[in-house]
Amino acid sequence: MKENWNAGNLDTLLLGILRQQSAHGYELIQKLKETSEGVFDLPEGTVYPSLHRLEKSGAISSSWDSTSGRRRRIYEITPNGRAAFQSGKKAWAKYSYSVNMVLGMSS
Amino acid sequence: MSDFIDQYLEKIARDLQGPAIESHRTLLETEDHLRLSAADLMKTGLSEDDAQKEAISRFGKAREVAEAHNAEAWGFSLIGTLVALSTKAAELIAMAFVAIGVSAAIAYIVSLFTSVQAVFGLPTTALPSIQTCSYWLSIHPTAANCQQAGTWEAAHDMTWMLGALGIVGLIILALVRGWKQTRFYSIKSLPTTLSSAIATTMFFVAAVALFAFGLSDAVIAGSWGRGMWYSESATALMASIISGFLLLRAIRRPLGMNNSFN
Repeated sequence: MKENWNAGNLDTLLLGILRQQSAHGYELIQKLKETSEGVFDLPEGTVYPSLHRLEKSGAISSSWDSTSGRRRRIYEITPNGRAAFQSGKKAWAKYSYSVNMVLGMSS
Repeated sequence: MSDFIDQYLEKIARDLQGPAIESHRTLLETEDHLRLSAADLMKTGLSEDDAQKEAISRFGKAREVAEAHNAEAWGFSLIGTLVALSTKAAELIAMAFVAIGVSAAIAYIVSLFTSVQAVFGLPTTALPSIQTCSYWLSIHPTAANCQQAGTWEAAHDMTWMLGALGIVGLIILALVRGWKQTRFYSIKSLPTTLSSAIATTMFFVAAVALFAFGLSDAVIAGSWGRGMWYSESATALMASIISGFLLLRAIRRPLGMNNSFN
C-alpha cells in the first residue's frame, strides 16, 4: 500500500503543502512526512521531478534564494495550482467516500 | 575525508541528460537537499560519514534519480524521439550480433567435444547444385563427398563469419555507449521498461524460431546445422532471460520515480 498510494496523488499532496506556505524541496518533504505522521515517507529523490513537472504545467513557480548562504530553489503555488489542488481534493474526496461506502465505514 | 555527497553527485551527473541548465538545477537542488538532510541526521548523533550515507540512501539510487530527471527534462520532441529510437535500435541490433557471435563460439566449442557433423552437418535432404559441390570440393579436397565438404565449409564459414559479426556488434555497442556519453547526445532516454520489453520479446521469438529450425534441420539463407541452430536458440533464450530480469527490475522500482499528475 505504501508504495502504491502516490502514483496519482503525490502532485496533489505537494500542492496541498505549498498551498499553506512556500518551501524548498527538503522542507516540503519533511512537511509531508510530519503532516502524514510518517506515512508518506517517500524516496526523497522522487519528489523533485514531480516539482519540476508541476512547474512546467504552471501549477507552481520557483525562484532561487540565497539568504541561507546556499543557493536554494523555493517553490510557490500559483492560481492554476490552487485550482488544480481543489480539483485533486474533490477527486480524492469522491474516491475515499466510495471506498468507505464499500467497506461499510461511512458515517 | 571522503565526501560521499560529492561522489554521489558525480554519479548522477554522469547519467543526466537534457538541457544543461536543467541538469545544473537538479545537481544544485540535490546537493542542497543532501547537505540539509545530513546536517539534520548529525543532530541525531550520527557521524558525518554515516549521516551523508543515510541522507543518500533516503534520496534514492543515483541512476534512478538521473532517469527520473531525464524523463522530465525534455518535453516531446519528434527529432529527439527519433534519435532515441534509432540509438536504441542500433543497440538492440548490436546485442543481436553479439548473441550470434557468442552462439558461433558455443557451436565451435561443442563441435570440439562432439563432432563437426553433429553441429554443422549439411542435412541429407539438402540438394546443393553441381557448381556449389564443385566449389566446396575445391576448397576441401580431402572431403569424401559433397556432403562432407559442405559440412566442413559451414563449420569454417559460420564460425568465422558469425564470430566476426559478434565483434562488429561489440564495436557498435562501444560506439553507441561513447555517443551517449558525448554532450551532443542530450535527448530524452527511452524508458528501460520499453527497451527491455522489446529485447525480451525479440530474443524469445528468436529462441523459439531457431529451436524450430534445429528440430527440422532447416537450411535457411545458406545456413544449416542442427547444433548451430540449437546453440543460437540457447544463446537467444539466455539473452531473453537476462532482458526479462532487467524488465522485472525496472518494473519493481518505486512508483514514485514515475509519477504523473493525474
